[in-house]
Amino acid sequence: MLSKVKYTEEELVALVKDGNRDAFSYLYDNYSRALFGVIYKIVAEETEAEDILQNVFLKIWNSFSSYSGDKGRLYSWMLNIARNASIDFIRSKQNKMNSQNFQSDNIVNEINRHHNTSVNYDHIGLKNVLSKLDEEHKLIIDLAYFEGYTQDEISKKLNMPLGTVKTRIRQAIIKLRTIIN
Amino acid sequence: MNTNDFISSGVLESFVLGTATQEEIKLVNELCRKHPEVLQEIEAIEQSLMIYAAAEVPELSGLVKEKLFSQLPKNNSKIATSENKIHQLKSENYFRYYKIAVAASMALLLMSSAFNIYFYNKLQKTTSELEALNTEKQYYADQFNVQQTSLKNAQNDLAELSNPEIKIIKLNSIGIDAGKPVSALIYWNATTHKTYINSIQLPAPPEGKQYQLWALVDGKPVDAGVFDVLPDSVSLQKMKDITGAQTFAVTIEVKGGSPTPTLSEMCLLGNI
Repeated sequence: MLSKVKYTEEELVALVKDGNRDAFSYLYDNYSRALFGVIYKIVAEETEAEDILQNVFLKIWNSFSSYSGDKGRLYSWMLNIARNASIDFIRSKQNKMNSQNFQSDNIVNEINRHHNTSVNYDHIGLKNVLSKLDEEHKLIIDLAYFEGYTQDEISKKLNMPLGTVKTRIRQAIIKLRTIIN
Repeated sequence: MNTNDFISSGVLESFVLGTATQEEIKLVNELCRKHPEVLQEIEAIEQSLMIYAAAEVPELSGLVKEKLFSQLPKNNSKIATSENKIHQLKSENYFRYYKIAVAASMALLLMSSAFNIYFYNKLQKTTSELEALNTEKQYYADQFNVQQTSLKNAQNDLAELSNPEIKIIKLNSIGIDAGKPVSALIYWNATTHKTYINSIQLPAPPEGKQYQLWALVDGKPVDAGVFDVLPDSVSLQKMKDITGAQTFAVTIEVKGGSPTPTLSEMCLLGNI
């Protein structure tokens, strides 16, 4: 489901910085599924998620010169763009729907609602990936992944010691890895 | 913190999730450069998270990519043909990378060899110096022991000779050597029976022979032991303990001494 690695991350970054469309096409093929997944899980609406994804990649292309390896992984950088765009979208939608300020809890509710609905899609051949993860693990990963909460913020939000948060995130990802492999 | 602790600390997960602090990102980047296993771990976490995000999500329409690329500039002025450029860049990158890598390796190898030779020579030199010093130290330690033993003996002798009960008996030459300025001194303590001889003026005995000291006790010869003529001018030789002597005499006997004195070989005599 992910494109076979053709470039090292360094080469890819250098080529895209150079304005290379083919390299950007490769980058899109490699990362669009994951970024679309992130957006979709935040906004929970397919057409809107597609529009956001398109804008996100446009933004990635236009602001690529500001990225460097010093800022972290390429995926993490793009993830932040996708996440912020999606959260902004949700916030403006919520603001339109009611005049009250958006509460971040609503996102969690929305995410959980989405996860709990029986989605018939299984296009990536990873049936039950989500159901094999404990709800607790899923919640923590989702807070960090789809809402961009730092470990410290998760600790405060869930009233859970920071060490436990770190352990759970790590355990959850290790579990994910075993499920995937 | 070692690499494993670092991997299990949860900071790599934050790093990939894009929620790490600037300091953490800097630290992780540094560790990635030093430890390939950290980078591997990050890649594994990233792959898992990408799969997790894509799981149970509707298939992404190909139209999105089409629409996106229609918005991008058609030709990049910097690039003649993209594919060529990619290969060119890739090979240039590789070439440059390998050139630098080879040059750096050679430089490191040369430096390392130079240091090895330098430190090996230094080590050799230090080792032989240490050996020489150890030998010298051993020599002085031995010398010290010899000197100490010698001093102790001298002190013991002096203590013995300082005893007011000691008697000094001069043995004069008799027989064929009579009249020659050959003599020996006997130091005898009648109470403790300790007997010493100072053989300083005696010539060396004939080959295969040895001097033997006798005491005459009630007219009978009593063996007081054999002795050598020592080159050391201060040396006293301790002889067997003697009780009730009236006369001391020295004979020349076969090496190891005789049970009875060979009277014809008597060379020194002295009365108390």
